[in-house]
Amino acid sequence: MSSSPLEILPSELWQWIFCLLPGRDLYHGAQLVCRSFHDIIKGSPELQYLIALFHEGMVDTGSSNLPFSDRFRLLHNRRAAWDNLNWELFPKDISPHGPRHAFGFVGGLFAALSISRNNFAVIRLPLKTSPSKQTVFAQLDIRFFDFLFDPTQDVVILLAKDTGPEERYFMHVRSLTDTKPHPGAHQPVLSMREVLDSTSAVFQLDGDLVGCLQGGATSHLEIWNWKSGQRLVEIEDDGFHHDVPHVFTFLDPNSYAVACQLGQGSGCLRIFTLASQSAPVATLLFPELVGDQKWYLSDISLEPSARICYRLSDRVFTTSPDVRVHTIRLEYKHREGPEETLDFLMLFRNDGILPFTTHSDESELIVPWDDWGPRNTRMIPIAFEEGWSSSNSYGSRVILSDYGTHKLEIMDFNYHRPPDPLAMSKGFIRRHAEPSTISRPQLFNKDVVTTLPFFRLVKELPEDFWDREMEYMIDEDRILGKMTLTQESWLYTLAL
Amino acid sequence: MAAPATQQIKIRCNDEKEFTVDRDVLERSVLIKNMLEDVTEQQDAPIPLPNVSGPVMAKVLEYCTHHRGEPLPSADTEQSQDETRKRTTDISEWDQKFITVDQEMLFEIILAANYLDIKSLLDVGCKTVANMIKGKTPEEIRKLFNIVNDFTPEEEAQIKKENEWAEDR
Repeated sequence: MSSSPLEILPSELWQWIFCLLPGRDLYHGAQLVCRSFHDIIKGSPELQYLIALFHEGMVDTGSSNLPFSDRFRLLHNRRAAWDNLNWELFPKDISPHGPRHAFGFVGGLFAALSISRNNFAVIRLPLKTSPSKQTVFAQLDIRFFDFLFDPTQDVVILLAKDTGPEERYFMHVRSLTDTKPHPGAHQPVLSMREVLDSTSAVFQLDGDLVGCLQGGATSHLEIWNWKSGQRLVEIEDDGFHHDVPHVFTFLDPNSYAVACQLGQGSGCLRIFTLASQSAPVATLLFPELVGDQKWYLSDISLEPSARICYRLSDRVFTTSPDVRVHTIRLEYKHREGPEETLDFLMLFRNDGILPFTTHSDESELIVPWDDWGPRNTRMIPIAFEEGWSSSNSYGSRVILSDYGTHKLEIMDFNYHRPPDPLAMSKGFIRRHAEPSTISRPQLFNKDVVTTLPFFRLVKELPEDFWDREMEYMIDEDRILGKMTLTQESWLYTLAL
Repeated sequence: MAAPATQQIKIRCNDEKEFTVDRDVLERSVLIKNMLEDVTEQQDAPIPLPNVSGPVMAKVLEYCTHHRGEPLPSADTEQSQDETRKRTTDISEWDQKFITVDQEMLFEIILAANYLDIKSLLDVGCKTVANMIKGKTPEEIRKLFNIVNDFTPEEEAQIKKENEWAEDR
């Protein structure tokens, strides 16, 4: 028998090989093989750093020259700051030029559009090490009603509506720094098909793709490559059969999910690929309703999830594009009863449903709730007694805003990682592996039990915040509170 | 003065096997390149390579011949190349075919590339081994490389305990 490669290769070369592996393979594979592999991995700051990145759901940007031991420490400090919610408050009024109507928060940049004054402003939010700075202020040439932006590609897509005889949406592809036509875009303006029912339109930007779904009774979905100016997907009303699509979200550069109401009152998530055009590759059904059909799914909305800027080069490491949580809100109504609604948040990890995109069979895969939901989601009721509530997510974290509480609550669906020991001992962070059960026999034909594990972080807010109705948003390093009811919008940045 | 490209150099492996090779092919090896630069006059005695066997050298020369004339990585670019190399374990089609050898040869090539200081070949070899490991369980890796599990039960329990936060659901 030939000698084992263990004896042929010296440990430096094994270390070289291990540096090519993702943290997951080091952690779950190589280090458990034998003592010498374990010692090589344990003794290498670079390999320990790769494992820590895997735990945190992050990737190295490749732009830092810091020694690996320093990067490892930075990663640990960051985890401790999040788990203990060690914030520093930066109050900031971001509306010096009148009320803002549309907001965006991506990669540390907060952008706002004022429809009444027709201007657009971008502010770089502060960190401990850098003050906030207004980077863009532009008076706009056309009246826009909303926008999408991505600082990693210096792109902002400004949305305009033509209210002539044929109502249309236009997507103006501009450079974020000067709001002039984007040099990387083949066409400066993408013109969508006629709008039939403009009450609800959902726009999404992800990498090179930008899409618009006009939901409601006459639905229409278009996905464009904003660089080439090509329309890649167009699904007209009849493409959705009798479904009523409400919201959509990109899953990766080739696939997306559309949340739909189904004819018989329930709902589903239809998974499409760009290549599959109007034929979904899989349909994931929502929990089954009771047979009398008195209750039905009346609305589906998508809670905002910030785009992950994994290509930002001014960072040492950044959130991995694979680690993302989607949140959809389901509203159920009684057909004849009072105006009562039952509302739920359904949260799922992107990588939990990505496997369904690779279903290659000709026929569509239909997955009953029990075969995907309990394992891949958390479904929680939302109570409205206390006031309005919302959520916002970035990477694996979802922040809940709930008026009337003095607490800040974050659900972190990165359950791979060890939590910060101090935060654990103080009770700021707790692991939730036990199932959540929704018992609504008038609505669901059986209890809805979901088990996707997560950490729950809860911390009392500074007294300053108690009387303010704040809507929270998060990105990689910040929690941002926006006051919703006053004319001006003040931002409170909790920089970690 | 630079030597003409057609200059032939003799090398001798540890099994006495000798090769006569064009100088620019051999200079893919930084070790040999440096050796040749130190020698000013024409030498007839073959360069001894005590750490490489004939069959392995034959494979290495096949690689060097295919990649002759390509720029060698300089010391300045090393750092950034290290970083980009980490982000991908892709291997070009020719290299992929070239490196499809039995496991012992693969490891011998890696060792030879390391000794001869042929960075791109070392890279291809290491990436190939990394790709073999990727996605495998510890037991599958042991089987693949004929490695014995030498953890004591106590050590194994300790590692499992360290790992319990990361247990998949």
